[in-house]
Amino acid sequence: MISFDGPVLEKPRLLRVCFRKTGVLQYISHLDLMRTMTRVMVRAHLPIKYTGGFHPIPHLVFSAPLPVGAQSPREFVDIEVLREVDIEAVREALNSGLPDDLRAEKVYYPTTKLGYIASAVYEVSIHAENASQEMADACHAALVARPITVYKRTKAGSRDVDVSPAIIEASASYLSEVNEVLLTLHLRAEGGSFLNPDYIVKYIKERTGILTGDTAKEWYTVVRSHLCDKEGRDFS
Amino acid sequence: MRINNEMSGILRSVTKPGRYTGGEFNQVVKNKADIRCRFAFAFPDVYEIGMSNLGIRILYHVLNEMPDVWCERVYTPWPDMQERMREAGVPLTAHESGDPVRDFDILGFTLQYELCYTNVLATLKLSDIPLRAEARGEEDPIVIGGGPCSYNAEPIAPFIDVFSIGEGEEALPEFCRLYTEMKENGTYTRSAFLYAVATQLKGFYVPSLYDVTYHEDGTVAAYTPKTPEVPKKIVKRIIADMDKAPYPDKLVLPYIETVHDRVVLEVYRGCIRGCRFCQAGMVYRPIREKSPELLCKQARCLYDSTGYDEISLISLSISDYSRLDELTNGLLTWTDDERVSISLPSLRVDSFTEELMEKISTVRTGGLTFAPEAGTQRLRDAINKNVCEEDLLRAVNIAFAAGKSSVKLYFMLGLPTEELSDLDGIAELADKVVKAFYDNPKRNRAKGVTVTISVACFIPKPFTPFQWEGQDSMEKLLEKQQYLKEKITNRRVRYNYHDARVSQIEAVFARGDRRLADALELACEEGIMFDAWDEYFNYDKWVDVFTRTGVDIAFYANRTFGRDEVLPWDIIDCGVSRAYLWHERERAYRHETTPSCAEHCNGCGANCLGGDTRWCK
Ligand code: SF4
Repeated sequence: MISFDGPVLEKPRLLRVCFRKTGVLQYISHLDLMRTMTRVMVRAHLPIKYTGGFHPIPHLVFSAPLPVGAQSPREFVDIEVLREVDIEAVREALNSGLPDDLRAEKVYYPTTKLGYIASAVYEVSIHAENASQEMADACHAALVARPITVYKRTKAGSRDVDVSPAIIEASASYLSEVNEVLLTLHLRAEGGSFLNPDYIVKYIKERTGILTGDTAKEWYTVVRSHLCDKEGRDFS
Repeated sequence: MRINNEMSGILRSVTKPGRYTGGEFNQVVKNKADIRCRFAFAFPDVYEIGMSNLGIRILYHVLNEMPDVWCERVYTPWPDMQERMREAGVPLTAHESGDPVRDFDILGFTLQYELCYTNVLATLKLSDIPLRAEARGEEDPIVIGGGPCSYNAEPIAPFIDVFSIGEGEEALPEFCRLYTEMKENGTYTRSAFLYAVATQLKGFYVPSLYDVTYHEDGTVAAYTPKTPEVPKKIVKRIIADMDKAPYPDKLVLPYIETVHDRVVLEVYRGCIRGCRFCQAGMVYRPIREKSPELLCKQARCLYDSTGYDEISLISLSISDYSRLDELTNGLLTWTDDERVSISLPSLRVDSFTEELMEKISTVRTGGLTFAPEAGTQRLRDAINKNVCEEDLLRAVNIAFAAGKSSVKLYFMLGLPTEELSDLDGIAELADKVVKAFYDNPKRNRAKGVTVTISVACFIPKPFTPFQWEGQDSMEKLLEKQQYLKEKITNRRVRYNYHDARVSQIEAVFARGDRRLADALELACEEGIMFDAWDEYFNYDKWVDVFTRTGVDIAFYANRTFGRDEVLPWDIIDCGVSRAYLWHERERAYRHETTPSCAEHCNGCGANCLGGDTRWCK
């Protein structure tokens, strides 16, 4: 076990962990992710700030939740270290307690705030028996149409909502080598969270008839490929 | 699990896909080339429940300590997942490797409650394994059952090849060793192996090796071993010295929330109390304690390997642990610093002290529950629940003085010898607790008090002094529930009670025999499963199934069994003698209590099993 016994800092220092969440781990919820990360920090005995109260746990701040069923190469969690630490050792300590599909890629002292995240790009690859250039065109037409009405759960109950204000840009293309339709969705963060791309998939499905074949033979994957700041640059 | 594209399509369309993905931290994955015996250990309920079971956690560790055995976990998929799997033609797979369950050498089921029997069948069906043991071929896994229900597993016996009776830490490795030996020396066939298990190993019950005959009145006439070598009775296995018993140093960490997601520390086995309705209190005898030194070591090790923030001390009645102070003090030397809390799931009112309240954070912060079980002293004496009103009021007063304002009290309805006055007693006791709150000068004045009464229906269980008792009829149970409801007039008292219909089905299976197998099979065909879940329990369907298979509910649930009647579970010897149980039953009818084993040994017979115990004479 790596021990973290560097000198105590005068005041806690923000440390950022950039991690990926892929493979089977895409099916665990944000809450599950938080619990998993909390435990790995506890096991690693990192000298970090805990929450107060009756039941103190490591104080972790995550970037916008990734929906269940979406993978991501770059997610972020901020912690506050109370001692000077070797950041490479922190990364190692975390990875020795993490499963293969959840890895700390980089650990660093950030110069930005998680609150700067303003938009995200989702890539939805649809593998369907009726995938084709024409189908991709139809998907594209549906994506640029306005309004984009989906039946959505909201605070005031489920109802039809036009989600197009959440879309900065959306397009569809056909990948003939793999016979897939690729949707690229650039979505705006609203109140710190994003529209779940599943809503758009459902909308596309209803509009174009893609993904309505044999459910065992058709599937789609969702990857949140980029988190961006206000200027549209990659967040880090 | 292996997530191929097909699986990903399915997972995207079911609730809580995290139940099926596996890949948890601390799961055991082995190299198949080194493995001579693949063991699928199934908990016949949903993942969140199964993951929390201590027995599986121990046996998973024990089996995986064997270099040539690989034990994996299996859970019953939720009905939505089952449907999707059937549509896609995907068979049930094991959690770690993702290999089909039917390809394993051995499939084990832990039987924790009778209401999971239909899930056992659903799990077999989903795995493409023939339901009936007699229909299985050489290529099918050996199906073994164990756990508390195996003390009377007769209703499910025709679906299980062999039962492991009692504690499995030593028995299961012996079982696997015999399996690999016979496979390798070429003597293995299904029937040869089962015969060898029954005759060479101790504590294994192979139902197919016994003929069961019945009297005209439907009661059991005899269990006859098919050969003289087959044991007449199967004596339960125990671990003699709990300090030498294997215990996991790691726990598989679930991602999704499970019911008991924490470090669990088994403090001792058995119970000194002898409540007359309680099966666990009898079948886990004799009492064997672990030392505080060992427990402290195990706790620290499990904390380091998991990062859990709670340690739960498990036993039937934790305050009876003779070295509880040493244990809690030992844990408290580091738990506070590491922000780990200690929780006690089972507290007796007579042991509830201010000191305990300070030490145990869950006692400090969590809800308070006590189990007087019956409303009057007379009935509490009859069931040998040695709790008196003063103790209860003293305990709640400590709690109220410390700022608590809600208490939950557990009771049972329909107990043998019960009269309506005993139900009045429940309502009165609740009133007294409410009054105690308002009379307590140190109470939390900002809040009103809430006393919740939770009332279960009595279910006669095998190997208890009440095993012969009939359960109250459904009408009677409903009547009593309603009667009590009307008696509770205090607005500060909340009353909730169990579904009597569920308790009746439980009673049927608890005291059932092999002739219930047809009903279980039909229930499986009818898609009945997850009976322990309100949203799936369907009484009318069960009544229909019983009618169609000629099962008389009252014969099993409501009939008082005869003193000399052969009981379906007589084939098992759990240590405690039948004579002792009958003696206890007679004392119950005389409202006589029996002292705890700590006060004096009552000669229950469990000492014949051996074991390192401080009390048994
Ligand atoms: S033999 Fe005596 S002390 Fe031991 S469990 Fe039985 S009654 Fe208790």
